[in-house]
Amino acid sequence: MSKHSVIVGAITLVFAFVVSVHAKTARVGDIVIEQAWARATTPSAKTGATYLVVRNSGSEPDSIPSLETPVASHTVAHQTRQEGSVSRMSEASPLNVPPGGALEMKPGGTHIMLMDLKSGLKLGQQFPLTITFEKAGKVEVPVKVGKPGALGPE
Amino acid sequence: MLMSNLKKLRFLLWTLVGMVTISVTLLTLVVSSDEPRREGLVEPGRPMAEGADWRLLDETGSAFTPDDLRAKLTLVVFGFTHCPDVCPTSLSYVANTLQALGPQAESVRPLFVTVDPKRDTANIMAEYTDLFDPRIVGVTGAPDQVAAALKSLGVYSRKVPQDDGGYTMDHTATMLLLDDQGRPRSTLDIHEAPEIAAGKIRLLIEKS
Ligand SMILES: [Cu+2]
Repeated sequence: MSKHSVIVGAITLVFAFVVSVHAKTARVGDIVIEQAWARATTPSAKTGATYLVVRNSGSEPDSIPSLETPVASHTVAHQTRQEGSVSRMSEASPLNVPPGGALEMKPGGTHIMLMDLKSGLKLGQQFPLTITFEKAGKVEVPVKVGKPGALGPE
Repeated sequence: MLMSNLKKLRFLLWTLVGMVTISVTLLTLVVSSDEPRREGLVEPGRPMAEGADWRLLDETGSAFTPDDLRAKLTLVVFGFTHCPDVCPTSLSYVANTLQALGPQAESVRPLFVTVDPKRDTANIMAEYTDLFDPRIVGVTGAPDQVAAALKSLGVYSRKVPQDDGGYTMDHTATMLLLDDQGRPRSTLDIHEAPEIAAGKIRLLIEKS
């Protein structure tokens, strides 16, 4: 193998890694955020839901005291609970991320509620979400908008 | 030595037989008590909204009264358009069920009845339900009329204030299947494949 092909190979690997990280995950300290997605809404909708997975590879618990996005006036962590046939939604701040564990959001459970949307969320659209971790600090993740009734990232 | 080992083995085997028998019995009980809901239909009881006198509006602004529950099979979901987590899951399940029914979907009327009439106008209901399937009909109305309708349909709802000054609604999230007399015959469960839901509706179409 020539020196040249080794260099090309190494550059390709680094590039592939950078691209894959950018496409799927964001990292800050010991925290990795995966698969941020939202559901499309009607053009006049005032609320929307965003879901993501946060992994904490560190040995300390962390938490999310605040969330921000330019598409909504305010953004709150919510929890849906099913009690018998009744569905209830309540605030879930601050969200905790256990050490060596994950915070997994999904429809019917924990979600990020976008309130007072400035305009509806369109299928295929992407918007930034800034997540502030108590210990790891701030990170901005891209959120991809999927189908209105999507059950996971597409 | 050999004898005592054989005895032990026999004891072990009988214990195993006993455990298996108990497990199978328990499992049969659990499965059979679940069966009417999971696979088929319940016997018709009293029509919902019997003797009730409310007047709602469908998404086109036309009147919707208890009589409209006695014209066709009805699949009804309760919710509100400011609900971004649970309601879209239910409505896309209804949309997938209609898809699975194929042309037989014409025999059932899918309704989305709001528990939040103050914010959900007929236009907003139309726009919201069309996001999932244009065949789903949004139903709203004057707050007192919606309250009367929900009461006669056995639906719970409660306004819950939020820190930002807004509010959300706790509500019954059951998906109800009514026959052409307005009698509840089954519920749909989002944890089941939409084909199962389509099967329940087909069964009811055959019986009607
Ligand atoms: Cu919410």
